[in-house]
Amino acid sequence: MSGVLIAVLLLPVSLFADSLRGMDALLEHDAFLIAATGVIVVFIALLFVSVAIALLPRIIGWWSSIFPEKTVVISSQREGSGTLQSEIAAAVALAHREHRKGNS
Amino acid sequence: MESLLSSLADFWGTTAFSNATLPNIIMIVIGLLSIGLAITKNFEPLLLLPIGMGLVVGNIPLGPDTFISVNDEGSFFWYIYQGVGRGIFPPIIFLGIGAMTDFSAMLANPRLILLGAAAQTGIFLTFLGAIALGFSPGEAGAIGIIGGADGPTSIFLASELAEPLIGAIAIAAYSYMALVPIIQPPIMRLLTTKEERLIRMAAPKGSSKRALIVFPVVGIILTAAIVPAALPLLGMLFFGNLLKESLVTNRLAETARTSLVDAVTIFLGFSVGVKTSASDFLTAESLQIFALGALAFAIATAAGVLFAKFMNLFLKEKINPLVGAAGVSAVPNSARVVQKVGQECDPNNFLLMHAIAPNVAGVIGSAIAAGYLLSVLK
Repeated sequence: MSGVLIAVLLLPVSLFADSLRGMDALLEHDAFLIAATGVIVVFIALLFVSVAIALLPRIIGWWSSIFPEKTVVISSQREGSGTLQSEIAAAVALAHREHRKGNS
Repeated sequence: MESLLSSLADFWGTTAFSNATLPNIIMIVIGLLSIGLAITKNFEPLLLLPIGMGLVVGNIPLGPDTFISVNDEGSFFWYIYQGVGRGIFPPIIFLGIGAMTDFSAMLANPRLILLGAAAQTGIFLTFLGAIALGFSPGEAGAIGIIGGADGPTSIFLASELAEPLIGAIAIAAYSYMALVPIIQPPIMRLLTTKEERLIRMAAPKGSSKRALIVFPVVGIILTAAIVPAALPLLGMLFFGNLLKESLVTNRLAETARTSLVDAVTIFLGFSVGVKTSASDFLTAESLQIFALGALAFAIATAAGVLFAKFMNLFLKEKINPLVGAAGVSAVPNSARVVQKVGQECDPNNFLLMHAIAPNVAGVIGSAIAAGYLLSVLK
């Protein structure tokens, strides 16, 4: 099965067999070293991310125990309160109230 | 009368009809083909249509003293191409992708992230293949990244390492992303047994809102510390995600994932098309790029599936190896393919939510790979 797969994967390369410069070019540019290092770098970076995610609940728990409540942004803080529009709306409501008071 | 005829003859010399060459006409036909595929077959229309229109516009033959082509400094097309040539548009698209992406599936099952890393092997094996075919290391890196199945990343790296190949690389990347449902299933079936395809995975746990908020901050610090060259892509990806998850910047997140990303996509695709000239595109190298791009996709898919099988050697709760194929970052197409192939064996097996985890990890992985190649090859 793996033989078939390799044959399928190498088919496009074999179409250009004439232009293959072979091992020389690969060795000349340290290509194997670059590729192997690249694979390792990607694995290490994503392994770090993976471990960090696994540790996130503990980090958050520890953080919350030191700085309870306000230090972590929570979902109840939504856009809308404290914006210019809400301030204007509040001012308009206040103005109406004052106007009614004045009339009475 | 004579002067009128002479004036008309002079004007004729400035028209596209007078300056047309066969390569120009072929490029315009390729542009029309891209537009046709985008409209009739729905092949990545958001990118292939602007690229196709750009190909048509950029290959209209121009007279000698027009100074309006993409290569004429100060022209309109030259200005919009600077967004690509100077690597500005792809990171902005990553901002939008970050604002669209839900990392909760990945946070719920962090071990699946490694499948996103395994699939990036396709990038580096294709890099070797491209060098063996005679491409320079920079060109080989830009070609290899097609295996990351990430259009903006491919364009970003090509603009930095192999600008003349940018058109062929972009078209190959987006074409193969559209062909994910055709390329991946045979490889997935070939590399797995029916028993493996029947494996059911436990429903993922939910992830807390706080974890979703903290993740982009932790993620950018960790990944950028390892590969700083990936900062333009990863910085914007995680920034966009923080806008989304913080819930205090809904307007900014909404703009990033809709109007901003749409506007930039228009100019990105169009200017890539405009820049793609016949002399750069109608070459044997372009054919090789298309072949290597297919190879990169195939290897990335195979590597993800095989690595899932390898992980199963050590895991109590087995992973369905099909999920590994979603490690290529064609979000969400490859995750949908996993779901479809899994349900061919068991219609009640739902793999989509599991496949999304390596899928979004693949986006991060391909950006890391691009950053690494940039730092080593530039």
